[in-house]
Amino acid sequence: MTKKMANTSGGGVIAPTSNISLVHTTMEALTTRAPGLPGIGTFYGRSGLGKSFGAAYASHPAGFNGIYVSCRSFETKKSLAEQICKAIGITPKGNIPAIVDAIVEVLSLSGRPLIVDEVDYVVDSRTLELIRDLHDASGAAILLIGEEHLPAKLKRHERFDNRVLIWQPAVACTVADFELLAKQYASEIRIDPELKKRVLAETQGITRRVVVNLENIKRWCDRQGAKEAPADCNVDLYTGRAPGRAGL
Amino acid sequence: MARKPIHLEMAGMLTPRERMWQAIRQKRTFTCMELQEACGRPMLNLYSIQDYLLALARAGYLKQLNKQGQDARAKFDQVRFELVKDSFEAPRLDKQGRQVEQGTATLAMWRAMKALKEFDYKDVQKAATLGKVCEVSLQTAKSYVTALARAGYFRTVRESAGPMPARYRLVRDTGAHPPAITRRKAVFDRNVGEFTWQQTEQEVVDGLE
Repeated sequence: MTKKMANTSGGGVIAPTSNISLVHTTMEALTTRAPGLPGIGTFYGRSGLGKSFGAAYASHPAGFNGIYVSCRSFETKKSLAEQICKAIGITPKGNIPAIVDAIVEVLSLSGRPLIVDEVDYVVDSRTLELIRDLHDASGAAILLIGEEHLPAKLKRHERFDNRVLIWQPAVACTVADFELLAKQYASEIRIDPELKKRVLAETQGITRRVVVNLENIKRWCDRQGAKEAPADCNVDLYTGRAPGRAGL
Repeated sequence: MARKPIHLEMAGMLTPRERMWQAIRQKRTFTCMELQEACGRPMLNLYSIQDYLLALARAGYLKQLNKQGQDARAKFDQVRFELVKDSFEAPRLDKQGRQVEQGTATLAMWRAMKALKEFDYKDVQKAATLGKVCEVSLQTAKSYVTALARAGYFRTVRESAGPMPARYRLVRDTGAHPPAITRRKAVFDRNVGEFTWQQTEQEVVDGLE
């Protein structure tokens, strides 16, 4: 594990922030689990925490090589099965059992994990059973990605719940993550520690907002011709909050 | 291994290597000539088939059922092979039977676009780079994203403005294979088997001089 993480450090790569490491450890645990253990993992959290980058990491062809699908609100068993076929690169033929057999064949033959994003859309429908069937038949590792209420929603399905090996929440941006992101998005600028704190607090550690603010700070410095962003620089921090009602 | 394997039909247009592999999985045991026959038209070069079979044998996917004669090339067609290690995807190997990594970067970018949903070329570059295993330069990511944008794969979320690159959303996910940029700078998508963007004659002329 440590070896793979060491490979992802350095400039111009997915910043090995906490969430990428968490996806890495989760995938590692799922794919190397002992026989007999269930192989479903969940990765969940508020939007903007970097779950999509985690999904990209898990489906990277030179990494875990996961088969990535993303659920939509109207997903049915058949449409999800067809999406998986498309992601694998086979032509779906026949009824659902035939298609599922084909998918199971590929999953067990290739050992590729399945990554299902936006699981919230199917969690209340019977489409979820398809995922369980695929898991039971193929023994493939499956990573479910969803919003923060995913565990509560999944726990309602008892038969599903006890197949989940790992419940992994995505975490908010830490100070260390901030440093990594700053190195990537604004490497040439020194940011005052006070400003860093302010950005983390105002954005509530949501990675996407942190990145937007780093870009704003960088642009501010470029305009000023400065190499340093002081604590009191008048950059409008992006907080993601809807603007309040304009005062009359 | 009692169960008969399900016949899986790969989607999109197949490369010669994939056609051979699909025929191998169907026949299980075969000679070189039989395989050429099974691959159909357009007829594959017998030497490329031999090279691939030897590479597969070296990598342990195939077993030779009988020994070949003295004159290797002439007697090669008498050698029977058997599939002993199955795989869904056609193994990509060089002549020595080692794994070939070529094309991983494009595939990684194509998959990253699907997972990221909304992205600019810098995001794609970051997501597709995996340390030393898969290195994608900003220039590569930029030209790939620009080419696919021209070919109509994206919806523009935000136009580029000054130093801020354009943000896109993938709306035309045609399949598992990444669309390829050909040497003529056209975009070819083998999922659907067509050119999704080509230079017009005028643009070619404009590029001269």
